Parts: sequence; C-alpha cells; structure tokens
Amino acid sequence: MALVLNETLLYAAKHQPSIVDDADLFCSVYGRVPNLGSKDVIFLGASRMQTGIDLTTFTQQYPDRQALILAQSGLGTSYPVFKDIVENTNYKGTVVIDETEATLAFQDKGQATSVKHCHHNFSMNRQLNRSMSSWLQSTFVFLNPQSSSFRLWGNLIAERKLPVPFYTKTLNDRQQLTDYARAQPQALKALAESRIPKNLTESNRLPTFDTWFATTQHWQQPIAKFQRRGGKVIFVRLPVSEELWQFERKIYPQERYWQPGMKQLNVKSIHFADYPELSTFKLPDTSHLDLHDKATFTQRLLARLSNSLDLPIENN
Amino acid sequence: MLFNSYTFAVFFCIVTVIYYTLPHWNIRKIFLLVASYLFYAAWNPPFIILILFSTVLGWWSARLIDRAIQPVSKRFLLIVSLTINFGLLGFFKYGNFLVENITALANTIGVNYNPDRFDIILPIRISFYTFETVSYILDVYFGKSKASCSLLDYALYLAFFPHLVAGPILRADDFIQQCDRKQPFVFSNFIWGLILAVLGLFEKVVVADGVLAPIVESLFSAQGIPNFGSAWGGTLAFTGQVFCDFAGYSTCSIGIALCLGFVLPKNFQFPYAAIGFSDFWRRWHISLSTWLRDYLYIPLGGNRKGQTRTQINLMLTMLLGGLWHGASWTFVVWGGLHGSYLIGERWLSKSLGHYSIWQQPLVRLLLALGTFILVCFTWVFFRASSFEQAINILAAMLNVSNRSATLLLDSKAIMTAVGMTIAILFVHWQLKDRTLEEFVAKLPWWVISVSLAGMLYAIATLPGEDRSFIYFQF
Repeated sequence: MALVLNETLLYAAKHQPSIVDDADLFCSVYGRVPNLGSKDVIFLGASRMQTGIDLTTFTQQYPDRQALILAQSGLGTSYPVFKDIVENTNYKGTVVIDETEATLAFQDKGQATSVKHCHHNFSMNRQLNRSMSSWLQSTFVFLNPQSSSFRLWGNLIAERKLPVPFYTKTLNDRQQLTDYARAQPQALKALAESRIPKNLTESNRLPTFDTWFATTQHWQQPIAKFQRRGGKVIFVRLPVSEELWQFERKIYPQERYWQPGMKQLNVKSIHFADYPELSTFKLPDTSHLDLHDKATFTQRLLARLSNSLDLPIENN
Repeated sequence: MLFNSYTFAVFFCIVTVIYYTLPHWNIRKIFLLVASYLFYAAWNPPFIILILFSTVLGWWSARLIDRAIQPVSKRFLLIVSLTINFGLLGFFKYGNFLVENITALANTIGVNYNPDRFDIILPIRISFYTFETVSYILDVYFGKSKASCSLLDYALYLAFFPHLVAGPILRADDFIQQCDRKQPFVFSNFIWGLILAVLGLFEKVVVADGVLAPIVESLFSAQGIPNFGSAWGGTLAFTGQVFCDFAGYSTCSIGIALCLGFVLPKNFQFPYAAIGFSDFWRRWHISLSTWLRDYLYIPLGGNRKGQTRTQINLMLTMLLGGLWHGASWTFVVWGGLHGSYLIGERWLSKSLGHYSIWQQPLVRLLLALGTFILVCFTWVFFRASSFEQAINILAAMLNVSNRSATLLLDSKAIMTAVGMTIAILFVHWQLKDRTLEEFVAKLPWWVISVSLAGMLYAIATLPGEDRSFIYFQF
C-alpha cells in the first residue's frame, strides 16, 4: 500500500521512471561490441553524446545497422574505452568520438574503471541482475534515484509540497533525455552561469599548438591500429551554447587547434562551429541538447557523417 | 551474488522452496552445497576451483593429521597444509603489496629494480575461508576436535552460501555438528530469520548506502584539505557506515542461515557502546577477534609470559589483524592503533582500575564516549586511500591543521552524520547488555509489523548506487 501511495504521489508530481546509468549498464551495452559488424557505429564520449544522439533516428536512417552509445557522463576522456575496443575486440566499424581540445589531452582513467569492471566483474549474475533492474527501473518511478522516498517525504514534511521532478532521464540503451521544460529556470540559469568562466586567465589558456598536440599523442597508436584493420574514426566536437562558445572560441580557435590536430591525427572530424546547421541549437545548461532537438540534431549530424565516411543515407 | 540484489532474492526463494521439498537430509545438504557453489560462481566461475582445492586440502590434511601417530609426521603435515593455505592467501592478497614494498626498498638502497605488478584478481572471501580452514586444521592438530568423516559436511562448512562472502568466520565443530541431523522447518525460526534479513538489508541499503555513503565519499573520495566540521562529519559518517554495512551483512547472513535451519554465531554486539577497547573487540567482528585470540594471541603466549611479552603479543595480533583486512600499510596502522589502545588500557586498568568511580553510570557513559571517539580516529586510517589523506583528516579533526581548508561538506551532510551517529550510539547504549531477540520479544506485534513494513518500504524506495559490502573485499 505504501508503495502504491508512493508511486501515485510521484506520478502526480510528474516524476518519470529512469534507468540508473551505472557500470553494469555500461557493460551490458559494451558486451554487444563483439557482435557488431563493419557497417555499425559506436558513439564514444561523455554526456553530450548521451544527450545528443538519438538512436531511434539512427535506426530509421540505417535500419540494417546497429549503433551503441558507450559515452560516459562525467568521467573525462573516452580514450580508455576506445583503446580497449581496439586492443580487446575485433570491431572494425565506425567509432564516433566526442572530445574537446582539452579532453583530447587527458589520459585520466575515469572511463577505464568501467571497462575494467566489464572485464573483471561483470559476471553472468550481474548481467541477470542488470536485466532485472533495468526492467523494474523502466517500470516504477520509485526506483528512480532522483525520486527516492527520502526526497518525497523530505519535501512533503519540510516544504509541504511534492518534490519537483528531475529534468533528465536515462534509457536502457544509455541515451539521456534532457527536458528543459521540466527544469527550474532559476536553477538552470545558475548552472549555466557556473559553467562559463568569467575571465580568460592563464590557467584556462591553451599552450601553443605543438605543445598541445604533443599531449594528444597517446591517440595515434590506437587510431592507426584501428584504421589498419579497416575501422573508421571520426572525432566530433558537439555543440555548446553560444555564450560558452564565445568564451571557448578565444581559447580553442578551431582553425588553430582542432582542424590541424585532426589532420595530424589522420582522422575525419566534425566541429559544430564549422556547420551552421549544427550550431543553431539552444543549450540552456551550455552543454546538453534538449530532447526535442535530439532527433533533428542526429539527422543533421548523420548527414554530415554520411558525407565524411561515404555512408549513404538510407530510407531518408 | 550480493544479498542486496534482485538475483539473490530470486535465488533465495528458489533454494528455500526446493531445500524444504527435498526428502532426505543428505540430498538436502548436497543441494545446499551445489547452490552455494553456484552462488560463489555467480561472481567468477573459475575461482570455484580454488575453493574446491582449499576444501579437499583442508579435509585431507586434517584426516591425515588425525591419523598420524608420530608427532613429527603430524607437525610436517600441519606445516605443509598451513604453508599452502597461507601461500595462496599471500599470493592472491599480498602478492602485489610485497612486490611494491620490495621495489620501494630496493630503490631506497639504490638498487634499480622495477618489476611489473602481477595482474591478480583477489578471490572473494579468500581471507575468510583460509581462516576457517586453518582453524579447523589447528583444532585437529591440537586435539581440540576430531577430523570430520564427511567431506560433504566439511565442504558445506566452508561454502555454505549465507556466510560465503563475508563471514561470520565459523568454527568447524559448531557448523558440522548441525550437519549431523536433519534441520526441520520451524516456522518461528524461519520468520525470525526473515526479520533479521530485512533488518540487515535495512542497515546496509538504507543507512549505510543511502544515507551515510554519499557523505563518506564527499570526504574520502575528494581531494583537498577538510575543515574541522567536514573532517568530523565524514569520519562519523564512515564510523556509522562501516558498522551498518558489515553488521548489516552479518545480520542478513545469520537470518538467511536461520531460514534454512542453521544457526550462525553472532558477529556484533552493539560495539559502539563498548567501555574500553578490550570490550570493543568483544563486540566488534566477534568471529575474527576470537579467531585472532585463539589462533594467534594465545599461541604467541597471550598474557602468560609477563608484561612486556603480553604487550608485544597484543601489538602483533592487532598488526596482523589489520593486515588481514587489506594489503596496505594504512590497515597495518589501523591495527597498530588498536594495539596501542589495548596496551594503554591494560596499563591504565592496572594503575587506576581499582577506584570505584569507574562504576558510576555517568563515568561509564563518558568512558564509552571516549572509547567511541578514539575508535573514530582509527577508522580514518581504515578508510583513507593514503597516509597523506589520513593525516590531513586527522589534523582537521584535532583542529591543528595549518593549511587552509579547501574541502567543505555542507551543513546538511554534517548534521545528518551527527544525527545518525547519535541515533546509533543511543541504540547501542540501550541494547548493549541485551540481545536483539530479547529486545524484540518485548515489543507488541504491531510495533514489529509496522517497523518491518517501514524498513521494507525504505529498502524498496531508496535506490542508490550499487555498492558492494565493504567486507566483501576482504
């Protein structure tokens, strides 16, 4: 009865079920890499990739291809995942990697933890448990960590009102949906302001191209190895808000860093600022696309990817 | 397989139904053994071979020791068996630790020696089943018990799934005796077992993971220098978390075993109400502290060989007890601090213990609080990832840090940690001289029902990150 009441109250406050995006969920998707063919696509990167790519749109465009999202929110560069795909699988399809000039230079191991988890801890038991969790989490709102009973009753007791629902939601295929219409405008504004540095200081200035490029060298060996076996790599710089880009543009002018860097890494790339159709989206928190723009953005990005990688647009 | 997982809930239901449906006791035991191996294999199937090897080795060694007539043969068999058991533990748990320390030592004296680290996966529970095997072999060697005739009973003793992952550390005699006769289905025991399982899960899922773990992580998983309030808030949160996590696991373990008709020993007796450190170790991880007492402290001479030797024995026991928890010097320091506390307590007790003031209720309460605070200091080393971090936190707790604080917990987190600590201390103080059974037996049925419903509701509706039991890694 308490659970029914709990669920009713949460639904009344417009809370939604959401999957917990943990290492097990990552591994359940990562485990599908060995089954992919040369026509399939893997999306790596961080939360911008999870919120920007719409897998339904991808499937509509390429019904005979599979796509996986292996981007990980808030865990730095996707280099460890790419390296593991190159070294521990035979995958030779396309890898689309979302990085920035800053994260390209990182070698932090945040995303390596999840890969290690897949190799050492993701047992059959965990797979089964993850399947059961995913089903339950996609069905019941009370299993959404943002809608816990602590928050529900805490709000009801302290503020005498139901808690405001969180504006993001994770799906079983690791896509994230960001619905800014559900976000509190003031909190969103504060979040956006906190992400845009006030002044250009020495600490956020990049070094010369040569110095910066030297720090991205760790990518070269896995990229070359992957390309030798027929794999295609494309780096994308996903959109940020106009305000943030005005700032970043001063630090990372793409013609001085991104473009020559990609050329020297010998990979195709897409920088959102070079394509008007990719740079017109509103990003209220500075970095993540709204769920209503997700399909359009994906369509436009795929069109660009098709041109770059000789992938015909199917069923379009 | 973790108790706080969906797969375990399904596994437990299936096992319980089939177990009580099977007609013969031996078939039931075989079924439980197979289920236990399946439970262990759910983590990493190849390591089943290791536990099987340990089982066969322990059983045969004990039988051969029991049958050997010559003391020299007995001793030879004992040494071989202990060497293999501790060798396996040493390789899997301390292999890299040894390599790191030898490398550091070599580099310090100017030798250029930089070997690669072993790529070792630590088999879950290896510390627990090694200690169980060793205690069994030593008991047989010293004639305290006879070697078990039944390989099935002995295998079930080591692998019985409710205690398989993180104890309690069982004594062979206590468990194998229960395998002699069929354990009937007793409804009241089954219900009490379920109550304990729910209580244990509540401690783990709600208190340890849901409430305290995020506060602990905001201190111990972050970089920076904490201030006084943050250091105390995070440390108190860990003090509560480590208890609720491990005691929660043990309570679950005891409850699940009871549902299947087996009685496991108590592992905790409200330790944060302890008055002094010997009292603390009579209440904290009882199965480990009694193991260390019986198989390390007493064989070293205990308190029978004079003051100095007693102090050395105490310190050695606690240092090794610390190292048992993990291959890191921070655990050794944790053990060393407890060793120092025990030595200091013995000295104080001898010098000042005869005064009647220590029996005053208020003084006893203050002594318990003093014990608790000193125990909190030790947990900093237990949880910290490095000495630097531990020292920064301790300096902030003692308010002697001369560096400006960069790591600040919000006041809500600190208040939550303090509030939970007060609640835990209150419960421990109230129940310190009673058992949980005695306490629950005096409650009206509706209080028990409402409490259980509340706990189940909180367990179901407080999803957090998947956190393994802290003692899982040992």
